Amino acid sequence: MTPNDFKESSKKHVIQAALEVLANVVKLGKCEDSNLDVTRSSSLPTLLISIVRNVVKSDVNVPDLMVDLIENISLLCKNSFNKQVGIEPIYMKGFIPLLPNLIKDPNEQLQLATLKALGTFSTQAAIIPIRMCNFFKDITENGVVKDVCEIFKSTPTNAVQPIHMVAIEALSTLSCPVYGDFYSFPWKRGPHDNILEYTEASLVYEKLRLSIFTCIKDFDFVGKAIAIFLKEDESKHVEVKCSILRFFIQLLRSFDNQPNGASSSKVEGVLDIFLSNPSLKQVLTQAAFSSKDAVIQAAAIQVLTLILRQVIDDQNLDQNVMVLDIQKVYLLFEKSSKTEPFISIMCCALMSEMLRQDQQQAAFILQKFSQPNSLQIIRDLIDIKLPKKGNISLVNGINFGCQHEGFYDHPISFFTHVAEQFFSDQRMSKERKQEFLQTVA
Amino acid sequence: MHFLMNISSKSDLGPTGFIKMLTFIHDAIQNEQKEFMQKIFKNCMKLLCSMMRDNQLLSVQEWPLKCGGGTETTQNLIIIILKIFNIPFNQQIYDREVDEISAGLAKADIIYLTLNALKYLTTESIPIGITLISRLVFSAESSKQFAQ
Repeated sequence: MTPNDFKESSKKHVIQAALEVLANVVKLGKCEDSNLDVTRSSSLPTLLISIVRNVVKSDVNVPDLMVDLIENISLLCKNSFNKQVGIEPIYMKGFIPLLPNLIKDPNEQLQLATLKALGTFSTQAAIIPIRMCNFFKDITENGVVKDVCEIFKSTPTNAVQPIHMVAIEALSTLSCPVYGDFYSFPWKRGPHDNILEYTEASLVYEKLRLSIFTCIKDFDFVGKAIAIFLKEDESKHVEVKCSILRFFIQLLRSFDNQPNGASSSKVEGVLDIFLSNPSLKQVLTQAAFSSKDAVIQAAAIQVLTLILRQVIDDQNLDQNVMVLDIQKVYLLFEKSSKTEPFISIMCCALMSEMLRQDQQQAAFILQKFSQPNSLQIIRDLIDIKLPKKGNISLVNGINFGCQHEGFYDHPISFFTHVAEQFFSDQRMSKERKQEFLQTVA
Repeated sequence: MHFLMNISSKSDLGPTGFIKMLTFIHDAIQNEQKEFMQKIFKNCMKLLCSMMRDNQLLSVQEWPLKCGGGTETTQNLIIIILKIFNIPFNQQIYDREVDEISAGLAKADIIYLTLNALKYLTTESIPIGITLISRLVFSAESSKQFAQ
């Protein structure tokens, strides 16, 4: 069939019916012998991609058919993905170069399908990020990222549409992937050649993050992200909310405005943009203390922690721009310790910052953590004999293979900060210090 | 302590958390927690020494800077371990334990490990290692074996 054939509705419907059957076979079909699995045949994606390419080149306008084709290409890509090969070359060479054209199409449904496909491809690529480094390089260079940012930019704060939700999900997946392989921390093992490969590849990931930030920093992206965040009904779905929070976390990590060695970029920091939004703090505290979803709560706390850390480190900023209720944080820490220790872990990070923010807060924390029951909670959190409940990469992402921090980092760091206060406080009596240490022991 | 003793490549603990844990150990021993010091030196001395081996230091060094690794973290790791080992020789409260600690450190090959670790340190931090060696060689009864 040529693109002109699709002008005839009967022919178009035939191919759409065929695509529907194919989608169902790929989604629902089972084949024990993978050699006999026709859905793994490379001729299927080759054919579908060539149809898409021909339609893009022609003046035929069949967005509904293109949507079906793109959805099937995504499904086939997912179906054929394996960790040895990654995304097959047919998609890399045939389909990825078409994305810039597809995403610019005036038809919103086609844009939406393209965004979803981009999300699928990005998720697949992030599973083996080093091997798929070229994917991240290609989409940075072919302008797709800029187009996704443009769609995100077009978000009307009072009428958010699914396309805007998918756009920010795609940006989040590209800058902060969640699922995939990552390397173990460097304990009791020798150096690892793959880490050197990662270091080399990380330049590509950083460039991708930078290109996203460069595109969004000139409009009120926080306001638009909050509008999208509030649009999602938490009782039904949480994916978009989680994606937005992870996106914020990554931006705060990558574009920290402190000029220290750990900062990944020398571009203007993101903190001022966050602080200039009048409703951000309320939205984050609401998510942290009232959400029913543990990942949302933990991720919101992580965003607050990163903001607070940067506020405290910035000598030019008024510390009062970010004041949180320590009692609420402590109660959440205590309440979640049995049911969702994962949230308590994140509360430890926030309390570490609050400890150094203000003397009154510090006094409250020290008073609480001089008592055996509070110390016992920390002890339980770092007890490796107890099952570890929660996965920190759901909050921080996997950073393309090298995680920023471990599950146990926060409680151990917090405990050390509390202990430091006990050790260094000259006013504290020797008996009190002794009492604290005995409890610790 | 249990956490430290069981650390492995499967431990979900980043370099930042690990250094913090060592900082706590250092501060507690520095604050004259004799019992705690005895437990740490009895159970974790070998592990702390193994943290100064080349393989371990190189893997921390190559771990990305943004994820808590890198040259500076490697230096901090060595410095904090050397500082922990130095404390008993500097504080009167631990005088009785010094001989036993020296013997334990000797068995763990501390002189070789310290001298080897110096290559990771900056000029300003080298004295911490030299101080430990000098204490081991000159201050304890059992120091003869080091001198030899």
